[in-house]
Amino acid sequence: MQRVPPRIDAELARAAACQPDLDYSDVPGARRGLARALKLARAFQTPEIGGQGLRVTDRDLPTRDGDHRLAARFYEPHQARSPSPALVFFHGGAFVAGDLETEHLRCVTLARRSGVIVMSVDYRLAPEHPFPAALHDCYDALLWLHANAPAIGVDPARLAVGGSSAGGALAAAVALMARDCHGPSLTLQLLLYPVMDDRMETPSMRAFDDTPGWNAINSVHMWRHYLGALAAGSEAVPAYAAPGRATDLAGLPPAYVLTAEFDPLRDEGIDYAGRLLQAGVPTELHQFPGAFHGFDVGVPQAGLSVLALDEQSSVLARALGAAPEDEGPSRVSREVSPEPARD
Amino acid sequence: MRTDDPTVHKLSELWTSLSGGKDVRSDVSFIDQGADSLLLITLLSEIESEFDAYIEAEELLENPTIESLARVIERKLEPSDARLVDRRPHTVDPRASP
Repeated sequence: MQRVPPRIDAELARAAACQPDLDYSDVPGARRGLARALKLARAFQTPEIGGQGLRVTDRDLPTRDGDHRLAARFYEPHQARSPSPALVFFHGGAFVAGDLETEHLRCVTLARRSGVIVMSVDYRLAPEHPFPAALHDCYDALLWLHANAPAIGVDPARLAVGGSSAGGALAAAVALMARDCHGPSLTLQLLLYPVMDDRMETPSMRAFDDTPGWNAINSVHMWRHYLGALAAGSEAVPAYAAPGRATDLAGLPPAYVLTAEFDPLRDEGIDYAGRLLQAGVPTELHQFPGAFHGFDVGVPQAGLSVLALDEQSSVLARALGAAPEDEGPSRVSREVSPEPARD
Repeated sequence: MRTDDPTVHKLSELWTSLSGGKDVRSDVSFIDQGADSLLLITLLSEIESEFDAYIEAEELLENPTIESLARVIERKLEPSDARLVDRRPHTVDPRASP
């Protein structure tokens, strides 16, 4: 049973109370519930959230073993100049749920406002395909984009990875793998309320077992599904599965880490950001007070969400040197006139 | 409103308490009565615990009134073979037309 924390942001409170209370011990039920909530939300979204200003196309990518289909969705802003920088994005869903629809709204928003081409990856899901299937798909997608960059108008020297929730773990792991395997050099890792650590020992993970959007009980189920034969919390779990276990973070790409106060994943995200910084990695950390897991795309009209999505777009544009949307990056900056100076 | 129909009645009660309950209509779309996606997600969870029936997003969007959604719920609550069962009384008049 989920409960809304009393100090939740006022504009997020109603949505927090209405978050579907999903149980990830029941994978088909969680998949179904997540897809249903998304379809209902989509039915109410204004056409503005469609793909205006973008070309949106789906295509299949080749994989290392060639035995399965790996779909990706491309969001190409009309204002992108060839060769354009690109973000490879991985959706959330606890490694067991979600698809190209899950983060469609965010990908549209980021591509349109930042001017960066976004490639969203439909990686394989646990428990049918436990670790490392999803990571291999995500890394293969990055390699494909790097190898085919000139042909599709992408600059192979300006690539970023990013992901939300479980997709954040995949993005961080792809960044580790690219460093270790001398893969494509990355300009940014965008980690949005990321899953980081299967040990589940942080204060936020211990405290938040009934928070809206995500809770510690579902984290237990998530790791069990994703790790398959590996026991969660045991030393057998590699950093490529749980990037919070990585001890050497030097040489990783610059990072932007977003966390939400009432999210069990909060402290593992903050911890990773702190350790990146200590390892000499340029790191931007934004901890959103009063927010819950998934707040920005869950309640896109709330002030905190507008702030978060604007920030993600501008971080991307700055890191990758893209051409942002002509009218300015933000709905807020267009609608709110600046305060007159008071002195 | 057909208050004699138990499913319609129960569904009206659920919707009244969720929507704040003024002028609830069983033949007008939830959306025209002020529902947004958050309210509909909550309505579906309530239906699940109240009726033990899982309603898909499409089923709700295609049957967006209390009356029509009540029919969807009833169909789901029928045992799967119920539609095949002949429900006519066994003592039918043989002279009645088939």
